[in-house]
Amino acid sequence: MKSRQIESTEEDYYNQEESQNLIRKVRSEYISNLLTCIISITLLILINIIYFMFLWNASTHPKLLFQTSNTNKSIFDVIFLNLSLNWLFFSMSTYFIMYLLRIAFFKFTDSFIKYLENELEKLDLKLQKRHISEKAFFVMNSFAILILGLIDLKIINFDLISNSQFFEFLLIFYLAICIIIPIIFHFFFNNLRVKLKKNYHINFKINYPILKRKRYPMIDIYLSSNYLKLKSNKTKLFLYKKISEDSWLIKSKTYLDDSMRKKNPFLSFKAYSTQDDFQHEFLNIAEAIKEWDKWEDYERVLRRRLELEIARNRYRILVFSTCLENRYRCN
Amino acid sequence: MPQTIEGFIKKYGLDNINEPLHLVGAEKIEFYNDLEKIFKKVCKIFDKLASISSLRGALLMMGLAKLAGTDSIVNKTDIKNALNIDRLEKLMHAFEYLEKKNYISIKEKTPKFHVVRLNKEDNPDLALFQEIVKRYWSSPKERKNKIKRWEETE
Repeated sequence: MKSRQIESTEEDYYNQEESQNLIRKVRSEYISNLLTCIISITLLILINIIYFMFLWNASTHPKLLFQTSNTNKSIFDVIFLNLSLNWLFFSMSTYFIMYLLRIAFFKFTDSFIKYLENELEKLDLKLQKRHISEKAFFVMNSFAILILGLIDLKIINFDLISNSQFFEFLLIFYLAICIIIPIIFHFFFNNLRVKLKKNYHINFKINYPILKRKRYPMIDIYLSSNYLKLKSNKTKLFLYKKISEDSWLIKSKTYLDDSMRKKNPFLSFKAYSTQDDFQHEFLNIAEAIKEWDKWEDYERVLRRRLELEIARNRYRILVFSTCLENRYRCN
Repeated sequence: MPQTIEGFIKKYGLDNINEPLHLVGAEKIEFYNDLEKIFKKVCKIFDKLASISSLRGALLMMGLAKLAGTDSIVNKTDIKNALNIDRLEKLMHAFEYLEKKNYISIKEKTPKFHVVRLNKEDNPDLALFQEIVKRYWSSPKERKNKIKRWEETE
């Protein structure tokens, strides 16, 4: 009896330890990632400054510094004309800044993702990692570098084209898009999610104190479903409230995650959990989504029945009217 | 459908001793369904309390449910006293956790006076929880007082 008691207390202790270890590990990983990124950004900015100072120097004193003996062309001319190299520099630094922002905002580290994967594996589900922004960034920028390379090699020459200004504007516009679109993708579509069914998935967001030392630190895991319907739809809003209340889910206005508190025209289920009760809350929100889907199905069936009934009534009216017409003609 | 036990008792006049309870046909089915719905709600409350991962979180909920509903405002210290806990720091984690879970709402009137409420608007099942706790549960402080009184009578 006594040994069993000791075993159970030991188990509790290890469970508690495991939970605390996870936070410690995630936090240290996050800090090391952040430091690495800050160092790399600083280095990149320094390299950029040196590079552009070099260009500036070359443009002010080309003959003094960079004139080559054989040709009349300075090195500056070569570098300045190397648009693709300059763009590569600029876009890479933007990518690293994005990467830093990603770490700063999302706070997902490798060990936490592993924890999530393990927990979801127990529920026979798989975690989907979406890196749309990175893909978009690389695809769009490689195309931009290709075009700029062709310009460098004089294969594309704007001076030979009649509407050169228009094409130059188009190129600048495309280069701007190459930066803007991945950033938009990064903030709205780069996330971790679990696909439950077609049209239904659950997104994750986490938060934890980095520097603040607490006695019992916890990882705040915010779970949210995909956008279900517009809030302006009164019947859906009623259904949403009913399901949220029944499942003890969090309504949008009281959701404590700052980014979610902003007015959103869409309805989505939200739940909060920590590393200790993740599975429970995940099942809770998944059940709510299932309930929503059930009602959607029911509504679909009802609508179909109504449509059939309307069609049947229309047919009856048509038959009746033709009968009446025939009788009238006979008379 | 009655949301609380009191509503259930009133609906079927269970508190009226003079009138016998006659349920026939559909009434009996409705009675059974109402009873089952209440049990389902109770089970959901058990589930939610059991999944509170914060230490003393469930106890805090019970303490708050016991104190809430009266005319006086409940603050953090009242709950601490009702649970017979020496320091408020021991409950801070539970307060934070339950607020994030949206089970309770905390309004900061002054830096040292925080009004605590059960969030019954978002979680209507908490009304039933409060009713059960109020009726049948006695807080550690009440139990302590009872024992004290019993000791004094000896």
